[in-house]
Amino acid sequence: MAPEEKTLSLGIDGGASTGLVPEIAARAGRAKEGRAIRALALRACSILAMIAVWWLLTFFFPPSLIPLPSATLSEVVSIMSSGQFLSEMGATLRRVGVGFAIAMLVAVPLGILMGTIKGLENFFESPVILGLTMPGLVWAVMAIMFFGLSETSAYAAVAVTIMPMLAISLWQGTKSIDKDLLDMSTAFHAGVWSKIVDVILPQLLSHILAAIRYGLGLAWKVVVVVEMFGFSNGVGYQVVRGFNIFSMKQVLAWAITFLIVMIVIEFGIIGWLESRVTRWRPKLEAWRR
Amino acid sequence: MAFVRVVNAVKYFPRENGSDMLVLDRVSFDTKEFGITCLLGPSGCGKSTLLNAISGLERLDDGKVEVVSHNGASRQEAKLGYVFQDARLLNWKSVEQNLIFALKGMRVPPAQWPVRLNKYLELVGLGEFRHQFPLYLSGGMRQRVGLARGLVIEPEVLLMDEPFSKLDQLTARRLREESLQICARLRQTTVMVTHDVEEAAYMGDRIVILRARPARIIEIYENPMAPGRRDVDSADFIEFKKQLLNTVLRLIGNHEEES
Repeated sequence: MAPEEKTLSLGIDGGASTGLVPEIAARAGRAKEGRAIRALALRACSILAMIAVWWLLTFFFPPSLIPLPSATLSEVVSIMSSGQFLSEMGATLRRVGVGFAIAMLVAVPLGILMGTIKGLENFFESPVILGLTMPGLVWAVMAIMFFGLSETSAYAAVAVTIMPMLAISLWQGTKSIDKDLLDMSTAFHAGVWSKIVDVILPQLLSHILAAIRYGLGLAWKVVVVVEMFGFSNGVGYQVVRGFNIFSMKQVLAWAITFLIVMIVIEFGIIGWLESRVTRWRPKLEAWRR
Repeated sequence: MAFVRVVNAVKYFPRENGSDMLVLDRVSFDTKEFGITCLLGPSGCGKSTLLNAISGLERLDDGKVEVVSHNGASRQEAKLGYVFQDARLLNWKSVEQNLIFALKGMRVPPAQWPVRLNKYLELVGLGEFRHQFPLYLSGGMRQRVGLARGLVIEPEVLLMDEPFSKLDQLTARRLREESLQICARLRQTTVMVTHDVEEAAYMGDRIVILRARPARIIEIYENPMAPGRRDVDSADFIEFKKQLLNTVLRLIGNHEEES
């Protein structure tokens, strides 16, 4: 193939993926590593900066209001190394997980149907938007009043809070599916299953992932509020317990523990899923200094 | 291989005011077996409708389309390959996986896949890029994938709908050359729609000129030059191109744009 075709195919990642001109690819690879290290370093710096500010504040406030970072962080370590952490965190995670699963089961078919059938779209548009506008905390309160202090109220609160978001995402995603690609798949006699798995689902995947991200953020908040109201386990419960004995250290320690787990889930699981799912898209990194 | 026989094709499009618009007016012709037949006409004259009728995507209101096999037997259905104007690749699948998608759809046994993939990817010059994703490729390369996909199923007839019109001039030129060589090498019966007179003269072994609204065959030309002997700058070629152009201009009038 002629040389100019090769340079045209040089991807935005510097051609490292096609391994064309070895020295350029190697240099681009090193530059990419350098950028990754710099990004990590900046993130670490910002966390250290936040801790530094916290430490400075301890000079101006009593330890009962602003506990020392060192004391709080050692409390975090002792929480995480104790069996308590697993049971408390596990309870909270379970509530989020089940609520999420219920929401997906309802929202995914609903969204897809809304995107395909005009009548259903018109009918469900109002309830979905109303559901979206209602604050998650209100759903939490209503769930507890309705189901009492049972696990069901936690599941219900989470499910109802994120259902509208997921439904809208799938609704819009379904509407924006490329008809030309479906025509192409018909031209090559692709079966219904192949059309769904090879053509439709991948287009919906990026919408679903974005919705899961937003949904997860909201779900955590709702669960913690429900737990605060009167469960006897869970992160929310531990925070309220800290409040009751007026231990800011306890409150902060559990909050930080919770944050750590959330970050692990966000970057570890969801971030990993996202990178797998968007491997085929050129990144804009090149001009995003 | 087979060729396509169109007999008295008639097609109406419903119009808002009730009366139907006649799009295809008793179009009849045979495509050339083992060669490229170009359907040449101004934009919007119904060429794409005709192609869709050949492929079965649209139903004719009268007349029929047959696929005549080598042994003379005629059928309604045939194994058809498509190349679209915009490549229409599945961007989340690699080049190779895109071809496999077509192989799967057409129920080609998996045992044959490796041989076919190698053959047709090499043929379009994308052997090195089989695991690359379409968005990392240039427009010309994507169109090559589209061509490979149409060919990999080894169709009886290959249908191409203005496959080079979205490319820049230089890329289009190169791709035309390569497609011509590939179709000649494979002796692939091809039907190609185009509105470009030079493209028709260059690629078509048989050129069917259609007028517009309604579409009717004006004339059918056989290309005097063999595929390997069409030099765009030669006197013969320019002469033939002029012939085509005059026919098109004379009978269609100057309210249609020519490219």
